[in-house]
Amino acid sequence: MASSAELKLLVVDDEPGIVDFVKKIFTRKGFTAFGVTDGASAVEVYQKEKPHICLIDIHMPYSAFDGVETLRRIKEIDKDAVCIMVTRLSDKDKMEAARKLNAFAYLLKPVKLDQLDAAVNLAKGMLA
Amino acid sequence: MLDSTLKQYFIALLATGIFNGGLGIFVLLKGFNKRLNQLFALYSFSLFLWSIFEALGITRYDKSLALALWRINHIGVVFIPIFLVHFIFLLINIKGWKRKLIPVSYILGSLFVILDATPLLILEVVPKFSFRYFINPGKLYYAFFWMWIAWAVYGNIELFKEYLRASGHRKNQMKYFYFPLLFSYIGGVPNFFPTFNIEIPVLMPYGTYAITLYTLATAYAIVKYNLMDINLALTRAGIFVVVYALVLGIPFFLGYEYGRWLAATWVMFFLAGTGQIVYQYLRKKAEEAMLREQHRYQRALRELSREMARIRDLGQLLKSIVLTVADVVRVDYIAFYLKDELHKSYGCKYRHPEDSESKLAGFIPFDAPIVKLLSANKRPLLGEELQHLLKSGPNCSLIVPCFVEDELLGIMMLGSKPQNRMYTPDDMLVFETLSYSTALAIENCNFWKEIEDRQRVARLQEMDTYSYSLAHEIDNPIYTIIGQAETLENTLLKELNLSPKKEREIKGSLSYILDSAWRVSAMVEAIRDFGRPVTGELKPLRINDVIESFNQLYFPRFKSAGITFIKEIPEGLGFVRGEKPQLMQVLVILANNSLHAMQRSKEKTIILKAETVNHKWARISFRDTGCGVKKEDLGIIFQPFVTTKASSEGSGMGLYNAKKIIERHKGMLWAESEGDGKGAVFFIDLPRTTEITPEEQDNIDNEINLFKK
Repeated sequence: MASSAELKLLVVDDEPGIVDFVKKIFTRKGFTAFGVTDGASAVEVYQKEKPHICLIDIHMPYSAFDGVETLRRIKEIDKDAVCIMVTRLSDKDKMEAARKLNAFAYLLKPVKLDQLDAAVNLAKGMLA
Repeated sequence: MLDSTLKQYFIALLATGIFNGGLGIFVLLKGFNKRLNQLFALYSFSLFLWSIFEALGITRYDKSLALALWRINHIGVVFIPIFLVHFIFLLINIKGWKRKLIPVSYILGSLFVILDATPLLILEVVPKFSFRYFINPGKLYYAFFWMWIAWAVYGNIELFKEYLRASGHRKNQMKYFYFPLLFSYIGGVPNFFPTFNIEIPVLMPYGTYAITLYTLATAYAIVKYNLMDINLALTRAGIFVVVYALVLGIPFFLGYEYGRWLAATWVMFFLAGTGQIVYQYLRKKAEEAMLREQHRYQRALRELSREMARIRDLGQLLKSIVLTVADVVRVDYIAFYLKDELHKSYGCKYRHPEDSESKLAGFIPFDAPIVKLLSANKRPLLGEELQHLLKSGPNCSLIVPCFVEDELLGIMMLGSKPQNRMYTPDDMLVFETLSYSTALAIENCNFWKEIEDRQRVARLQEMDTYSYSLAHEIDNPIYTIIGQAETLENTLLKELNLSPKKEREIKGSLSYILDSAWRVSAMVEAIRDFGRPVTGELKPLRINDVIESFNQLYFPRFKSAGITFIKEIPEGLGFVRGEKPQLMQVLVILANNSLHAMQRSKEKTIILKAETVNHKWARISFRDTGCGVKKEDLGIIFQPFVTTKASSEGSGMGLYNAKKIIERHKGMLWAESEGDGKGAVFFIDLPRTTEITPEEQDNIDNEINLFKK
């Protein structure tokens, strides 16, 4: 299993405040965390850095493409990319789309920190 | 020259003839096509014929001329009681077999007119008492006389009976008509006596004046009590006669008494010049006085009509009509009943004063006799008419129906005017006009309400979409607050190495921030659940979740309304199949109803209880301490457009929609109430479900969710 120091995490959310605290948390846990606030940048960063785990907000109305589209493009680059989707229970259709695109898991907003932790740990297990 | 007794006879008869003839002409002119006016005119003309030709008959020197005049006179005499009784029959609307008496009387009358040409009725004329010529009776004169008396007495009796029966306005009409008539017959009948060689002193010449008096009294009754709707014309004529009697009378008197004809001519020229001005002035003043009340009414009515067209709210419309009429007519009470299709009745929507409740029924059923009567008559009816036509009925002084074509939209009920004054025909006319504009204004309001309802629905749909996207907008900042606060609490704070006391303080603040943020988040979720588009797909739902979401959504409202909200919700109530936003909506509808019902309650408590009835059914009950529901209304409150709220507040669709939703969930919704003021309980029974597919189970559990491969 790769140590956390070598693990890269990409946080995609159109709310900078969210990106900020997720980065803070995982940086402290030893990840190299990248944060972006729109889908296009996410694909760009993914292309360059090939992060191990992606946390993607599904609902991003101000982004050129939303979380599902971002997921699709990342999967085009690497079909084994581990992506955890963050969503509201009400976005049933998008969740279904994400499932079909082979997303790893989903978390319901508002996400509690221990849930986030647990999900990322599960993903780490996948990588091993 | 005439001797003085004969002169009195002559003048009394002449005056009677002129007055009656004049009255007859006026009544006829004002109602040429009306049977009542025609008959009254005929009666007046028969009196004219009698009195003028008797006046001429008694003063002739030529015997054969006198006989001819007397015979013409008797044509009038014959028809006096016949026209009178016919007129009375029409006036008091006599029905049945008695009406057959009228043609019989005309046949008999015609027979006597034929006999009048023969000595069988009038044998001859001879000088009698102070008369130059008076008649001696023929063989059939006694039969004629007694028939005449009998018929006149019968007419008087029928009229008297009507006088006893009548009340209010009509009683006064009858009074002014009946008593002068009786008086005139007492005064007039002695004119027969000289025929039988009887002379009663005093009564005989002067009694004739009674007939003139009768004419004047009748004219008074016509003016004051609108006997035949000719008051204005008669007043004008009266003023004209008085003014020109003076214009011509004063010069004539000067010339006749003092022989100064030249001076008289000058005086006449002068008076004739001023007479017209005086006449016009008096006429104007009299008309102003007579029409003042009418003008005031009409002005107020015009204003009201103008205002009515502008009012779009039905409640406001009825209020303004009721208050204006109460102000203009100064009635002791007034109420407006509005058609209520649902209750099959006319409900009392507005009344004035407020405490007139005891005098007024709360509603009038569609099949009430009064409704049928109004539908048949389509005009305002007086209290007396109601009593007369219905025997029993509302105890009001005037009832005004509001029709649009054949549909009776509303009923206005009025109490009496100050000092029990009567409603005049002018009033009735004003109310009839008012009823038309009111009916149109009601239609207008209904039309506007429909448009506003449609606009409101459109606005609500927009709000729906808006609040749904608003919830999304709130999500992100809230998530930021929660995430950042948690990061602060769990991670960043530790790095500061603060003293335990400082750290506790900061953690205290952070926990407030987190609590509040979580609460907002839950509410947003509830709003989103509530506003989520309805798909019609019934999925398994935790009953507890539905109630908790409702709680999140409505707890703030209950709190601000000062309501004690008690939840009796045990854990693990199981599942029902349904749509969360729809079930939440039912609870929201019930909550809104309760909030409205408890507006005036001292104790404001809502108890939301949920329980499992058995393995098949779950029951949610919603109990409030509001105004409750009347027993008879428990069935209809779930029908569409039923509302107890003011018209602007509720569409009357709430409970109807709630019931529809519950029925779609294969459940039942019903209400129980101990009655007015005792609160209400609404029960929702929903079928429980245990058959849940694993996939559905997944969707219900929402901790960490791995997508199935």
